[in-house]
Amino acid sequence: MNCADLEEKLNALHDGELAGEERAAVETHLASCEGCRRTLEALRAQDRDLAGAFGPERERVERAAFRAAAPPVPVARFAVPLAAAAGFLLAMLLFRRGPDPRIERLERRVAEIQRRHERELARARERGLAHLDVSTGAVEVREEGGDWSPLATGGAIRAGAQVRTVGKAKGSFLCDDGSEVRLNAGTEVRFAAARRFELARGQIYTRVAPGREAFEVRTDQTSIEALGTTLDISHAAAVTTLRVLDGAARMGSRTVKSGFECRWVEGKSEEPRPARDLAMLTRWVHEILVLKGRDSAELEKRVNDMLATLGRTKMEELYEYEIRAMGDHCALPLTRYIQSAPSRADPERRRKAARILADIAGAASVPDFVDLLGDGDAEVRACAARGLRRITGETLGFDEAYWRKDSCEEGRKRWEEWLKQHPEPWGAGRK
Amino acid sequence: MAPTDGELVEAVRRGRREAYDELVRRHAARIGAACWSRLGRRGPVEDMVQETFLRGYRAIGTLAEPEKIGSWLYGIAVRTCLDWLKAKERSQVSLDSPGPGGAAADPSDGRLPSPAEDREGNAKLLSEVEALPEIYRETLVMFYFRKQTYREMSAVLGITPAAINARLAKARAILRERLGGAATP
Repeated sequence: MNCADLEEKLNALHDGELAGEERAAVETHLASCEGCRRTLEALRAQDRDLAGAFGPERERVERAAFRAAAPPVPVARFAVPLAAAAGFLLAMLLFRRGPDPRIERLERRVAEIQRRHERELARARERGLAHLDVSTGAVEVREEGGDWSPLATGGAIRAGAQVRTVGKAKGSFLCDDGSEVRLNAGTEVRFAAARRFELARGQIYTRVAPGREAFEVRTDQTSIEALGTTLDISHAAAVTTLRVLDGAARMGSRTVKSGFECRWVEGKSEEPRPARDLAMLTRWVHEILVLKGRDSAELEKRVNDMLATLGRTKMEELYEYEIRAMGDHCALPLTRYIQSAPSRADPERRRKAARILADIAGAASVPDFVDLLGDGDAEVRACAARGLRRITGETLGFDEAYWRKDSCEEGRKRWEEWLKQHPEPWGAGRK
Repeated sequence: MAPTDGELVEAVRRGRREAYDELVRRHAARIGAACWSRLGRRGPVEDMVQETFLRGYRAIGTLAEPEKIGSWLYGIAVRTCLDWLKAKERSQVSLDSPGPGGAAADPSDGRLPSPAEDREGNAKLLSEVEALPEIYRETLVMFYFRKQTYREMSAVLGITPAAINARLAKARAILRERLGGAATP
């Protein structure tokens, strides 16, 4: 077996398509051929790069494909026990010999599940189209023909109702189809029907779940149909502005793609144009995101997108301010970024992330800071030490200058020992 | 046991629309790969994927061999993309050309690369994939949109598993050469 003949076989081996004697022969050759081993290693590295590059492409395409999916059944949790019970009942009915108390019990069980299913469907219809999930202040609702009244968290919105945020409050509504509609301060929206909204004034941010029905937002100027998943729409003084963060949208007769914005002004639409700094333009949602909890994939993505701009744009101060403003909620994405291999390609940005982390992280970051005391970058080590001093009040006798030296092994071991002796209230870290 | 593709097709024909949802889930990645390999990452890939599944749903009564819905939908995707390319007067991008990466970029149609792509250097890699000759590009994109066996891919693409192997190997070798990776044996 010579190397020139091996390219296709190495590919097949890498892809798990070689077996038996052929596989054994290739592996025997690899044991004595460094050149082919290097080629196989290059294949593995290339495979990782390609898989990483195509991951986001596949996700956006699959989201688009699932627009053909039916809306989710609101009480699908009954489907499995109902189907299982009904299936077993059918089997027993087919094979029984005369009256059987087990079958009668099972018949009663299936009937009970069916009745609960129907009651839950009726409650779902009464519950309405959506409910208020979180808010940073007062939100009000007005049913058709009624007056404005306060809406509590969990409060349901029925078809035709209007909602508005009061003062500086922002709020987020979860719809029964799985979509989410977030309202900025000073916003009024009518929930006309399932997946149909009328934006009277203000700004909304929508995360659209797949569904067979079109997801549409109307203003007195135009209508916008979501073809993708994430849109920011504002309307004021006869101007409607659409920004598409993910997927696409149709505004009038124009299709607006991800990363673009389009305005409709006094009855006419403008050309879509690239929307720079989308993360900053939509930063108003951060107040809502922090209410939803720390371990949020969306929050992590936003922080990563803002981190990517540090050192690249004149607006970096604004981005850094936004990250800091979210406080400890950013600690997890910042830590993951610093610990990630790709971040090492940009040491200056990594150091900025470490400086922010040192200032905003909370107690749960203590184990991560101890881990970062072993980092290869002196600035990152010094930031970790600063964070530990701020949170724990301790330096263990090692000042910041110590951590900028080449060798800090003693200090790192002392901190690891300290962490073992003081495991609470830091927890195990967030790796 | 999960229903076969043929059973799902029959269910759709009997009016069970949710059966089509399952077919969409099973084949979305392959159809996405077909559209991406012909249109590139800045083309209307999502629109063509949706159009493919809509056309498939409408025409499902005409499918002669229900178990072959995968390759049938793949063929619809190819034709849908070609219809779009012709309609947009891009027929100068022939099937033997370098591919969608060579088409003039149109910012009003395009999708900006995300910050993740820029940071990771994925944009450069995807550009090189777009520049591969079509038969290699098609095979590589299908493999990476959804990791599957050579046999599964051959059923959709209509070529032998050995040909799948050869095309993947060639596509990877071209990419390594163009991106300055390790030499092939």
